[in-house]
Amino acid sequence: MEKKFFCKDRWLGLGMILVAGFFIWRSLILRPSNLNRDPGPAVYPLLGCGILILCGIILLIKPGPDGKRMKMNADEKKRFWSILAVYLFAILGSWALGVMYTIPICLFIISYMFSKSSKPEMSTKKRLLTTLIYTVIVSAAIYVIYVKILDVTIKNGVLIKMLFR
Amino acid sequence: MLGYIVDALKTLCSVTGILYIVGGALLGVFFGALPGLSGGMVMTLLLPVTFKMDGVLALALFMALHVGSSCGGAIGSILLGIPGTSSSIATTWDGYEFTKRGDPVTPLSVTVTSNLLGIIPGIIIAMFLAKTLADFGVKIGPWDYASMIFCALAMVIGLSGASLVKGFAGVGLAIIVSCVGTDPILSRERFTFGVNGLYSGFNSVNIMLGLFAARIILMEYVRQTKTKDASKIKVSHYRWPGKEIRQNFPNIIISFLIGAFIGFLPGLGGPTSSVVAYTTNRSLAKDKDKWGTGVIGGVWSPEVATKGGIGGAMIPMIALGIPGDVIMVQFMTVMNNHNVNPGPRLMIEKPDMVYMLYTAALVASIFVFIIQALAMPLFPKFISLPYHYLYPAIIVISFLGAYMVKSDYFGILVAVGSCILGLIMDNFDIPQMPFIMTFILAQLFEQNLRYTFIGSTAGLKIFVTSPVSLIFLIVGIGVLVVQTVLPAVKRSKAKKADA
Repeated sequence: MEKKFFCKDRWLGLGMILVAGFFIWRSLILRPSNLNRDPGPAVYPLLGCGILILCGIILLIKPGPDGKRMKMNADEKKRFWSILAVYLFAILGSWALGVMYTIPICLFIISYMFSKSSKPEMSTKKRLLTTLIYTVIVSAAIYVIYVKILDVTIKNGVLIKMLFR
Repeated sequence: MLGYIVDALKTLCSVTGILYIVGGALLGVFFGALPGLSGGMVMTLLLPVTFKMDGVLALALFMALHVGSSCGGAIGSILLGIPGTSSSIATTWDGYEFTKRGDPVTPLSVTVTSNLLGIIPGIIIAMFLAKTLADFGVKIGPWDYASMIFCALAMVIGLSGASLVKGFAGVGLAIIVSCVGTDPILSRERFTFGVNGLYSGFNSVNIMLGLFAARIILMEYVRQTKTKDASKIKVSHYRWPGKEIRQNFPNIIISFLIGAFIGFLPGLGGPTSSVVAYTTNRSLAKDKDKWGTGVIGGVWSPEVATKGGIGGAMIPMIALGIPGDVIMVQFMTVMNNHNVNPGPRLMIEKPDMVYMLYTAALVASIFVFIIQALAMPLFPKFISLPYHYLYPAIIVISFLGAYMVKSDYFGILVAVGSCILGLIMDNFDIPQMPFIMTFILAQLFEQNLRYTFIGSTAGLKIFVTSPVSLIFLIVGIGVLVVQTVLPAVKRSKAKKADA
């Protein structure tokens, strides 16, 4: 079978050149240094961009063989997007609700997901119950260690602040 | 030197000290034994917690974790044939054969004993060599230092076996990522795009939590890796392998020397030293045909080499501020969290921290030996724990750790961003080691590069007129050239052979 022109390495090379191009533009608008002989704050990012462009050109001209790429089947893709959604919820939740509420919610969802895949024979009711007990115990332990012992400042999220102002 | 060691011992003998060393050693052995996880991961999870700890004790805890994890990696290799860490892959080749024959105690006892035979002499050598290297380090100029960092990065890229182009792509990317925030000479904003969270740049703790904790657990969930059940394997008590030591003495010495030397070189570490020691000793052995079928020399070689490398890897990190591997990057991060910069002046300014590292490694190796010797019958239980309870806790602890850095959700955003970046890098086969090494060394590299321009009237010529700088440049470029030329020579030879 003939190899596609835009194989993964060529896409990577193109992406690297575009990223480097953007940062070259941003570097060139940085104010130069007033120190004698100092090449200024732009020189170092330009070095990084130069490396990226050089690598990008090499990959465009001579892409490597397909190595151990991340290939996923349909089930794996489903799991990938579902756990990534929980990760994104962690960001959104900690902004909107605060980590105090987001961490137990994430813990419950992730442990439910892991339990579902490792023990598929368990009934939903039992799974929910064991996951809930696990979440409560682990969240309590985390709270004691981080908030009480390590004195971590826990801030409320913007929604909670608005609701309980 | 002795005074600092006694002080460190006094600190370690306090209740907190013992708790840190024993707790760290136990956690390290446990996580090191679990295939898919590693001591490095638990160190990453604990990085944010070190902000709240005493710096010296935090280093002791990390050293105990590191020693424990290096020693725990072989448990999975021997009992399941699945290495707990990449350093214990070579242990699988002969170690697992013993378990198949119903004798897991012999290789496990050898592994446990190699903690003492590999770590203790390695640390003693490091104590003397690091001092000499640091004395040299204070005398060199910024141009020499910049060349040395280039050499270290070239070795990481060249010797790690990944594609050179992609290794350099990781370096370029890390340079750009490290430029976000303020520049180190003028403290002027750079690539902040008006976002508040970007003014102080990306914190290495958040990046490591994303790259090495959140990404690994995500992939474990996606791949649904099923571990074999080890709970039915019977392991009896530890026995001192005196006969095996006498029979394999030259093997142990060779393996230790290989481990200590390779550990010293950036970018190689345990995975390479264990394989090199194994292949070297096999080629020297009288019964080389039997290696791979359950020969005890095949367990000594990788195990002693891996542990011998612990001391070796500490030398460039302590003396020059250049980490040889990701674990040393984490030690540097702990120091940075306490406003301490590893490098030639570390031994002058913070000798208590340096000697705590050595002493903690020595004490931890003895504790790990005792813990492993006593707990050997429980090893099968260690690796049969339900992962579905462990992984969710790791994920939320890494999110909480990311939040802890600045008590802001932005940390979680950076950690998840780094996780996604790590997945993209995985997808395109970009190695993560050059990326994280460059990210950690980036500021130091830029400072030295710009100080070279500011301080030297000779301009760029100074890089080749200074003998120290020239040597590092030649070594660095040499490694890259060899790595480019060798595969081409091999390919042309193979073509000729085919023809």
